[in-house]
Amino acid sequence: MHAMQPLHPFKVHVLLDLRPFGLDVSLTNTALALLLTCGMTTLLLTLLLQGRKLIPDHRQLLGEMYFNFIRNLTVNNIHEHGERYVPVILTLFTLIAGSNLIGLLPGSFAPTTQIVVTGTLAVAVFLYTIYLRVRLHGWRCVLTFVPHGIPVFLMPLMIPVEMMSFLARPVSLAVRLFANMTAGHTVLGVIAFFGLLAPWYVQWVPLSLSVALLGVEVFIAAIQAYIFCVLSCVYIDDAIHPHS
Amino acid sequence: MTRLKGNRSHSHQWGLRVGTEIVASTMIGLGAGYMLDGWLGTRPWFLLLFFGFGVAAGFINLYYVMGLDHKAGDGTR
Repeated sequence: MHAMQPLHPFKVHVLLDLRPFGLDVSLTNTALALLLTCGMTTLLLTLLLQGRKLIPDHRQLLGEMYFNFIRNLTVNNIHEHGERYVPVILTLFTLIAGSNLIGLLPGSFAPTTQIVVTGTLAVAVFLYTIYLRVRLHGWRCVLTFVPHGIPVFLMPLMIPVEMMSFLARPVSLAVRLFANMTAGHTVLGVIAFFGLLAPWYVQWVPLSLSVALLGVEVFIAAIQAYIFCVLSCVYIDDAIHPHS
Repeated sequence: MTRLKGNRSHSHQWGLRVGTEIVASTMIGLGAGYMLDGWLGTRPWFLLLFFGFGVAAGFINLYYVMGLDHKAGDGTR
């Protein structure tokens, strides 16, 4: 019966009930998948970059290519001070791509199909950009909401609109990642279910389609992590160079 | 509002934002209006006003994304 509900794989359930001092810190399937993602990506990157040599072997080359990809992404989007933010973006990309990809394993769970996870990541980036604005520009950071070259009588209209557009950033970041991952996994589930329901002589059509879709999902998992990180870089750049 | 520094090779990155920009801004506007109405007891006036602000913010973001903003000195308007 569960297989007939396409949204069943996204249900959060408690695996280990933990309530020390009345505080609910239960281990859910989302938390377990996130912990597994952190563990596996850390292990993978450690293995790739262990025992570095001047002339790299294939393993080290793969790790360096990954690092250079993130470095180029960061430096191209954050002007002047891009190098400083490479660790943040590397961590963010690895966590999001790992969370997206771990959900493609049979019987696994993608943490990024939960709006609470994508929302937390988006709000963390948003708060970090606000912190950067305040640290770099002090009280002048509020001038971001005052658009240049606008007549004074339009200010009462334009300032709330600019504030809305600023506040929409974490929402658009969170919803984009959540919606893409949930939609992808739902389509995979529905197509696979069609394959199970179909008569044996046409079963190959939906089942082979689901294999092809799985390939597309791997691509989408990487693309969505890339988009999240590019936009995070753009917002950080905006915090460093407002009105540029 | 940021925009890339006139580098055409990066313009595709702005395309990535377009999809959810209007939806997110409208959601924020509706949420703010709904909360203000609940607080001040003026339903539905702030909801309507902030809905307008939200949609306008979405379109302004799109306007920036498309590179139509009038940056001083670059002549684009």
